[in-house]
Amino acid sequence: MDICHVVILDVLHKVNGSRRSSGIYYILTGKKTSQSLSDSQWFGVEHYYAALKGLTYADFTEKIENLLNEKWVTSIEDQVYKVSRQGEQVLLIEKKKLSFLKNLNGLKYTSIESLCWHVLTLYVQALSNSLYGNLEYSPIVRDHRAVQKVKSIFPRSKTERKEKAESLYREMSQLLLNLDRLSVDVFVRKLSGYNRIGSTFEQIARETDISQRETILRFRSVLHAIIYNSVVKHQEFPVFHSLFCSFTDLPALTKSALRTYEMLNNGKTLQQIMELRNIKASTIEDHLVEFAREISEFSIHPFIDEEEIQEVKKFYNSTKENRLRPFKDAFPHLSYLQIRLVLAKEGGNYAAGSSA
Amino acid sequence: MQLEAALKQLYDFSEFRTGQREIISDLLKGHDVLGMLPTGTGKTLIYQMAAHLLKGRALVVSPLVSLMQDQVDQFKQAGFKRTVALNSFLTHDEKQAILKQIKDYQFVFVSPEIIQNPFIRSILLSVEWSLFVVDEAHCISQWGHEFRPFYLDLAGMKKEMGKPLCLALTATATPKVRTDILHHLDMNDAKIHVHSINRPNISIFVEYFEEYEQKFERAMKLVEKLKGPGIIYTNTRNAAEQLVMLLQEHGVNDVAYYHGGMDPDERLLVQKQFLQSQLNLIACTNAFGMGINKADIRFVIHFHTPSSIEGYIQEIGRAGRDSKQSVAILLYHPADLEIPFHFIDHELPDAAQIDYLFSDHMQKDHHTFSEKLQLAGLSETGYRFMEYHLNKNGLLNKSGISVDEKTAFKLRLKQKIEQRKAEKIKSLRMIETWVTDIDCKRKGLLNYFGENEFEQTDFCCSNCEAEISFFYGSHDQRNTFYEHWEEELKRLFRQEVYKQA
Ligand SMILES: Nc1ncnc2c1ncn2[C@@H]1O[C@H](COP(=O)(O)OP(=O)(O)OP(=O)(O)O)[C@@H](O)[C@H]1O
Ligand SMILES: [Mg+2]
Ligand SMILES: [Zn+2]
Repeated sequence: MDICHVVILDVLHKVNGSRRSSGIYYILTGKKTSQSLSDSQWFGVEHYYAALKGLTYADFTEKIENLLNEKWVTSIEDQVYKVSRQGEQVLLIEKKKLSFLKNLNGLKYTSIESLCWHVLTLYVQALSNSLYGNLEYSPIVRDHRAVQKVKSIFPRSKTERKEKAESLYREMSQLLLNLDRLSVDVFVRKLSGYNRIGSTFEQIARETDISQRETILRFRSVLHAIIYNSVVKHQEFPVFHSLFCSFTDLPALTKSALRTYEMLNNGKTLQQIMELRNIKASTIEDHLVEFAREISEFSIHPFIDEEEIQEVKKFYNSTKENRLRPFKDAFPHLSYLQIRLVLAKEGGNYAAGSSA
Repeated sequence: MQLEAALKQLYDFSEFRTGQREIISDLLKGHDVLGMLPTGTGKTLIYQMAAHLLKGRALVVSPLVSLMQDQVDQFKQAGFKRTVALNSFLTHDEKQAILKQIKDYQFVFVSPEIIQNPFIRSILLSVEWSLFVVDEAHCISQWGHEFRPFYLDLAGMKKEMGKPLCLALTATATPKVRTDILHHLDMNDAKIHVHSINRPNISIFVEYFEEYEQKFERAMKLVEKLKGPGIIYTNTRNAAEQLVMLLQEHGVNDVAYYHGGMDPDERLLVQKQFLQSQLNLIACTNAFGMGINKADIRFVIHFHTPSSIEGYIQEIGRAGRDSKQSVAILLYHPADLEIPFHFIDHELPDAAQIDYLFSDHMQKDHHTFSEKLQLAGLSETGYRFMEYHLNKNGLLNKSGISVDEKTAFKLRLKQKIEQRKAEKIKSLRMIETWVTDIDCKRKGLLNYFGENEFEQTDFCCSNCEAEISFFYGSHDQRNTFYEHWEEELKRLFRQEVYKQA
């Protein structure tokens, strides 16, 4: 079965008819709007965020057609689908086979994954070649930031290089041994080093006889698992940590939001930021919602009272409502921004709770 | 003799190739030089060594933006670590970082477009240069096959740099183009070193097909028989992909395609795999052409006829750079040139696009012409063409133009475009004539560049009855021994001593 079908089916299942399929398409292709960012968290599908990067809308609708034809989903309104009983069963079986999907961490890592990968693969290439005494290899990464990073942490002496190689080898095998074999195989084929340039996705797909889309997803699932462990178990994985920490420490914000965040931290008021950067109030609001979602230290209390936060949460719990409109109807005195802030701040927890 | 010693010391080469020594020595004596040396002879070495011996800094203008970083890599591998490239692929921050340390570099590669940027130009001009190199200098002439309008402004740059020593290099310039180079670069007293474009170690074959489909069969057969590594050139990305698929279906696995539409990371992997001989064959568009340097390419197949003789010479010039016998095979079908003919019409801006750019509707929105250009939906060449002419007329950063000016400017543009098109069509006709000619193929190419004599070579061409089977053979299988991920990790990090194939 085409992996896209499984992923789409799973998301449709979690969203359970609360969004149009276009909204689902935006989540899956990683559109950077606050709607798809918060939706993905809200419905507990943040790991699928940007899972199908690059999929065209036409292809997406075709996949939905296929699901309809198989009777795995039914259409309840124009562009709104629910997964059928039969679909649920298929999903259960397929997901068991594709256990690597749970290692994806799209929402958290799409913005830094390519940089992290560039650093890792270049570091391994450089280290591997130096271990065999080959100093004239040609680097497979051009990304200036990655090159600088590797230069800045690359061990200078032969002894140090040997030590790092040993540690990195240990960290990598330890981590990879806990993941599924096929995904690990894909990942290691992608690495370059002494006497071997890594394979392209297309080559790996051919060699391992899986689709290119699946190859990429498996690769990313391993990469995400490595990044994740470098953060939460940084003592166990010090080399990984040293490679990624300068990127993982930054909150995963859009560039524009990051600037706003920095200015706020430098003591500017929202009003001043809007004037200085010549941006609209709605843009700043989107930024605030991003902060609420991404930055755990970011408090929403300056914007809404604790009591009201609790009210909104209660409403969610009793209605399982996922659209903004009903919230606004229930709390006419609150602004959309206030509601969005609460949902963004609490979204993850709630959505996770609701899918259990 | 000192030069030979330096050659030995720097590169461990025992002798100079044709022309290298004379040009370096003229440069060291303080003369400007125009050098025309065949593909793969080592023009790079000339300016590397000259700058080194002059103990100075060299600014190298190259049109090959996408290959510039490879050149930088190769410089570094050759031991010239203080080399850098400035081009449009860099982000703002990257450019800033390089410019800040410009003093520390010995070789700076630039695209002709980027030195138009006043800020970058002013930084470049703030340091001293001993050598100004114009590589692929034929791009300066509109009679050349790869005309790059911004090359025309290089004389200005040279002057502002305080007229350092100037070296113009090319492999493919007809006499007319050479005159243009000297004129546009303001090189009146230059020493001129023109060598034959002939590559005696490349045999030239042209085969004719009545049915387009037959070419696929033939290409497969050739790939199977010929000793690699090799390149197949196609006119379109699609054809490159299609060929690779066919080959893979037939069990040929060490092949990949390469073209401008690929993800940059993946494309780089393919390129490096090929350079490392992990791949035996690459199928590509001419995005993989001028400047690519792999020593042991044994064959170049043209699946389609290229759109000019110069382009053809550049492409077959990827073969046999180690001076060993190699072969070029062109598979001709009369419909080959339809695609390039079609390109000609689409490459340069058409009347509608020009009208759009200057329409009143566009005038109102206060965007500069530079911004409007982005919206006009032009091809890369078309974009460069318009950018150049807008810039030249001081319009690039303006947003409006008076009615009179507009009419005059549009007229001039249209004339230029017609002129360019006529040139391109002529080029196509020339190569068509050459392909179909029954005379010696090598002679035909040389005549085109104004050469009338050449030494008879063995295995000359298909019209001199060379035998293609001479080039058959199996390529050295290079084992990349990927077996199991755990083994591979161990090997990568050298955790045990591993048997080497
Ligand atoms: N004197 C020499 N002896 C042996 N090899 C040489 C010598 N000079 C240059 N080479 C080698 O020749 C190869 C081709 O050199 P280079 O790329 O500079 O060619 P080029 O003249 O610029 O060709 P093109 O016109 O195709 O760009 C390089 O690998 C270089 O190392
Ligand atoms: Mg060259
Ligand atoms: Zn001949």
